[in-house]
Amino acid sequence: MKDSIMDRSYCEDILEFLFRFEKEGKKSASRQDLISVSGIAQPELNLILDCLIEKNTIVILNDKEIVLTDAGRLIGEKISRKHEVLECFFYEMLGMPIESASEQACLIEHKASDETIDLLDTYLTRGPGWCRRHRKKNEIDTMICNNIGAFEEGDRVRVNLIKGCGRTRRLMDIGVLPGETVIIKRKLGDNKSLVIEVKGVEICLSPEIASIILGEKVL
Amino acid sequence: MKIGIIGNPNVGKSLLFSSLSGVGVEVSNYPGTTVGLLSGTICYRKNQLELLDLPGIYTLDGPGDEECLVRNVIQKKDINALLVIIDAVHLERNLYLLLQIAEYDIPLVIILNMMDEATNQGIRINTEYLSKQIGSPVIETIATEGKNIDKIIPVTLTEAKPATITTLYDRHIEAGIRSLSKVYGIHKTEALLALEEIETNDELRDAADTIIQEIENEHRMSVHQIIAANRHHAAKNLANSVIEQTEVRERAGFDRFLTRIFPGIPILILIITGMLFSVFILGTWMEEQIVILFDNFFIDPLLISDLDPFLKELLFSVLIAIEAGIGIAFPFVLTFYLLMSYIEDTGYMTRAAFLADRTMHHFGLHGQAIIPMVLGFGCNVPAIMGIRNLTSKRERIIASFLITMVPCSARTVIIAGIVATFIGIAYAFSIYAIILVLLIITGYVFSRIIPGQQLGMVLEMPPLRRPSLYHVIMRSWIHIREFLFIAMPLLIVSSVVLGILQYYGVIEIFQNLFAPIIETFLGLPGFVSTALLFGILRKEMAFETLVVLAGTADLTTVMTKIQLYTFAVVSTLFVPCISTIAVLGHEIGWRYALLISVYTIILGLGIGTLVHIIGLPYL
Repeated sequence: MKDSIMDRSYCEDILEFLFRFEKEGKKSASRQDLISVSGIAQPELNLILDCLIEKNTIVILNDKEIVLTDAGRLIGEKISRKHEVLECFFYEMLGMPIESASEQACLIEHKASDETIDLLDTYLTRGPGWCRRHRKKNEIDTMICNNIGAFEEGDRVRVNLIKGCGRTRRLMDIGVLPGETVIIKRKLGDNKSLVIEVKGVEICLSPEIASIILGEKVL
Repeated sequence: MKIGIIGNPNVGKSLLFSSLSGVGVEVSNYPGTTVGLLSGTICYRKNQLELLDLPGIYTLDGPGDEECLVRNVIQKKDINALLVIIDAVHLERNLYLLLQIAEYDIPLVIILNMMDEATNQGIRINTEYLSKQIGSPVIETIATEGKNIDKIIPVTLTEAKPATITTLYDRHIEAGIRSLSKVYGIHKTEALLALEEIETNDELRDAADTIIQEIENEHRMSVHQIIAANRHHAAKNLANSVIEQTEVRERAGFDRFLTRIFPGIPILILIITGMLFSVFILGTWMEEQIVILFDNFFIDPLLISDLDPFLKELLFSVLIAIEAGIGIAFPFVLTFYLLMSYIEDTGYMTRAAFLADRTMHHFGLHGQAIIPMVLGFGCNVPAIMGIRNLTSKRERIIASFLITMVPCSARTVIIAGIVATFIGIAYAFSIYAIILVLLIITGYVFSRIIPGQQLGMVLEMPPLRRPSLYHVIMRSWIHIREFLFIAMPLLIVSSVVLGILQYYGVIEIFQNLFAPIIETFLGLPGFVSTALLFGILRKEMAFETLVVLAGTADLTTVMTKIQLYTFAVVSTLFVPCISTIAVLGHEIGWRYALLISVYTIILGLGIGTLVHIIGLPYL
């Protein structure tokens, strides 16, 4: 099982390299070219190439010029894009050195789903919360992660976030912290004054305090 | 030897304090703050011990007055031992504070109070293991029954030890603490405070700022949040390791009704009006007795005696001042405090605050402010003393303005004695309506012009308890003594000054000076200004002086209805009495006390003028 995955990633790597050569204007590549960019030894490379021919992704012309088929080009292009997106994320957003960013991208590109890469790509180009898909996901998040005034009496709510800075000290000192589960004991009409229970103690909160505590319901 | 008592609010600290120290309690104010510190002296085996009741706090590292005060006391190291009172029912929450105290290397004795409630709820605590973990002795007590209270002092004297338990902080915080203490040679606790941006000097702040920024960038959380989380985590682990068995029990059914709009609000109104009526009825009756007693035994004999007129005037001033002071203190302030302490000790007031929170918001106040506002109807003095429970200075100022406008029972005497008697009940109520409108406008306007932001209310709601009568009486006694100390001297001095002025005819000059203003603007006869002036001593005195000056009890013979009505409005609004001003100065500073006095004078004269102009055709 492990071997087949290894094989698959080697195969994908080769297709990726071939695609890059093509993009650089080289119509075909030799075995030597592939050995120098991939670091794979000759005997293994031969095995991989056989496998690729079998899957109809490459053809070898005149026994030395390796050329991508249309199907192969499609795979190569996809892997190459995954590599670029991941590398860009590691390098630009996370600030990793370019070498290790590339190295990590090389490892992850084989496992990351197309959807993940798409989302990551939109995230990189438009920033968080921009793409339609991303926003939809956010809406779901805020539905779960509401301010605690939105829950019903008797609900157990896990605090996820406390907004604002200065006013939160008192809350923290009595134990309302991200990660802590509180119980909504009483909600006063629609003005959202709350009584919550935290660490076995009942605390009443003004609506403006309740509105800065975000949480999600736990069952 | 000095022993401090420290702990969360609502853990039975004060009860323990009064059981330990008995009656010898002194109220002292800590310099620079309005927070009161109770201290008591006890003798144990020929050792004199001073007990210090520190205010209830949730944390040592806070910016509030109370936290500052407790921190100062602890940092000064002149405390030989601390009794840390812990609520056994809420062990985890209480351990949070204990872990902070443990960092200060002061000998500790841990008092695990409310063991009866804990047992009732099926909580069993392995005290021995807890003591071993913390490194200080632990005593289980039930303060309400006096159980094990006798062990506290002997154990404190012989076994108190600094705690050995330490809180493990996040490695970045630990690194920050290490580098700050190394570079500046400060204690771990000081480094922690610097990292939490509390109480630092400039040099330390700069150094701490760099570390804080690094940590916050790394964690995306404020340093205070990380430290709080670490401490809560440690407290949780410690609590879990010593609690042997728990079963969750629901709170009594009755309590659940109190926080609902119905029947919560009707119950709230019932309790408040019930309290007001009892204070008013009991207070007026008692005050009458005191005044009769004073008049019969001191003032009348003085008036018919043939002493030197100056000396007579002087003695008379002192006597009426004492009469005014006692006449407020015992009938109103004491009655009120007895009722109030009782209700407070049941824990009901937090429920009231919860219900009133929304309404009070319109005045820039929070739910807690309902308590002093209600007190104001009985007497402004305890009401102003009650504002120290409010969290911010801004709230205390707004509340002070509003409270001094609330018609206290003395002003009710004026309204009832003048307006209701001579003009009609409906007109008496119209004065209340005017005051209510002014109150709402003042609250609304001041909440927008007084600087400072409105913080929300975060208030612990302790379970309802049956108060101990002894404790209620003790506390009321402490309050009444405090009142007498603050107000009496001022009352006597101002009364004597007024007496001397009158003796030398200065009052008459004053009267003549102000007569034109009073006559043209308020349409009142000139002698009224003297009545208003004496009203400052004690509000009903405005009424009494008016009767004396008019020379008849039937005021309609000397003044028209509109004049009486105007007089009632002006003296109701006009300047709080001397006792109130004294307490105001004490609680929020003399600048604001002066400002409030000026505001009420302007308000009184302004509204009086309006009443005179608008009301003339109707009465």
